[in-house]
Amino acid sequence: MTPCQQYRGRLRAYIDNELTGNEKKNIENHMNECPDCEGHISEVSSLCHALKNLTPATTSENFHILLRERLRREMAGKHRKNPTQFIRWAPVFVVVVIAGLFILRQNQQPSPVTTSRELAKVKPVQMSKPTPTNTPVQYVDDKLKPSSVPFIAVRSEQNVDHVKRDSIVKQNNLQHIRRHVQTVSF
Amino acid sequence: MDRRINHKVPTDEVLIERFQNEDLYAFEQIVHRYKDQLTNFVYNFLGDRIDAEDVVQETFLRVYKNKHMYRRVAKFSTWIYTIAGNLAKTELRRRRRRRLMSISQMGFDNKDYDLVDNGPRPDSLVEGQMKEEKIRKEIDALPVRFKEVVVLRDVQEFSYEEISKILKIPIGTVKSRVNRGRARLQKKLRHLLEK
Repeated sequence: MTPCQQYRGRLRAYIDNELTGNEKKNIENHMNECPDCEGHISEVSSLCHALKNLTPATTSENFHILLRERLRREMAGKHRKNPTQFIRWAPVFVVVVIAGLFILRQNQQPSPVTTSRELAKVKPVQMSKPTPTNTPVQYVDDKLKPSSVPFIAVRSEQNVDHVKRDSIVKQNNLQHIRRHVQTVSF
Repeated sequence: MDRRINHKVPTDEVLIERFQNEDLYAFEQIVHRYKDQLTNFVYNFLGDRIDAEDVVQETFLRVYKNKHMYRRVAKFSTWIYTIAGNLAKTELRRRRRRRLMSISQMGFDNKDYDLVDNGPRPDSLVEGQMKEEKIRKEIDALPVRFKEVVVLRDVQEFSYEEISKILKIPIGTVKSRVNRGRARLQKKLRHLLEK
């Protein structure tokens, strides 16, 4: 590397006053001996000087007014409800509401039994146990096989003497009435 | 730029802290302190005064809205110049796209499109102004990576450390780009710089 190339590499540091002591002195000595390097450094220094002294641009007279107006508009826009934002989210909102209503409706309605396969899955209605209370009862005559009657007639206020599993005997009539009864309580 | 510390005048960091505590007068002082230097910086970057003011206003708007994002770990000047620099670069990119689009929309009817030069007549300008216009023109012609460092270093007189923080590039890269940017300007402006 020639001395010129070596010193040109330190040119920026020299112009920016980063060099001290011997290094700075060496460059200055070389500049005194080399007109090319001296001219080069001189041009760069002039350039830096010209850039530093460019007429600074300043703001216009109504800069503050314009800035205040811009700030006011910006803050007003921020606090006002933004209708475009609402419009953007409205479809999502509608979809969510519809989905919610659909799910709610599905949970409320029992699913209808339509096919025989579905019928087979349905459990038979079970007779409820008669409540041992003073609630009025009625009994109805029905011709059923004894075995199909899980429960016995409970009572009647009229002349029931005793009750057997599948029949009742009226008090005033000893005739054994074979009746198949089932109890319905209300 | 005068960087002497005056103990009677609140520092930028004190002002922004007051503004963060909803002191609007502190914001006014920040605007007063930075409007001209930011306008100068952005004007040297974009080459257009109206665009430069627009960018600077947008910078203050961002400072106003995002004041709580400033943390004392960095100097306030670093923060505000970073915002201004990024906005200026965005504007530059937007201009390039507009320029490309307007060229692509040109018709193919073989007409000559003569662009009217609305610049000042050379004979109406004094020599110093001409020299300045020429310098600004060459700064504007620099690639962005050289322009930003040369303007921050040689026009705005920031230190290399500060430039490194503003542009978020290593200090060695800053020095290298300053060197190369100056070399390009020197080549273009040689005839103006010769004594």
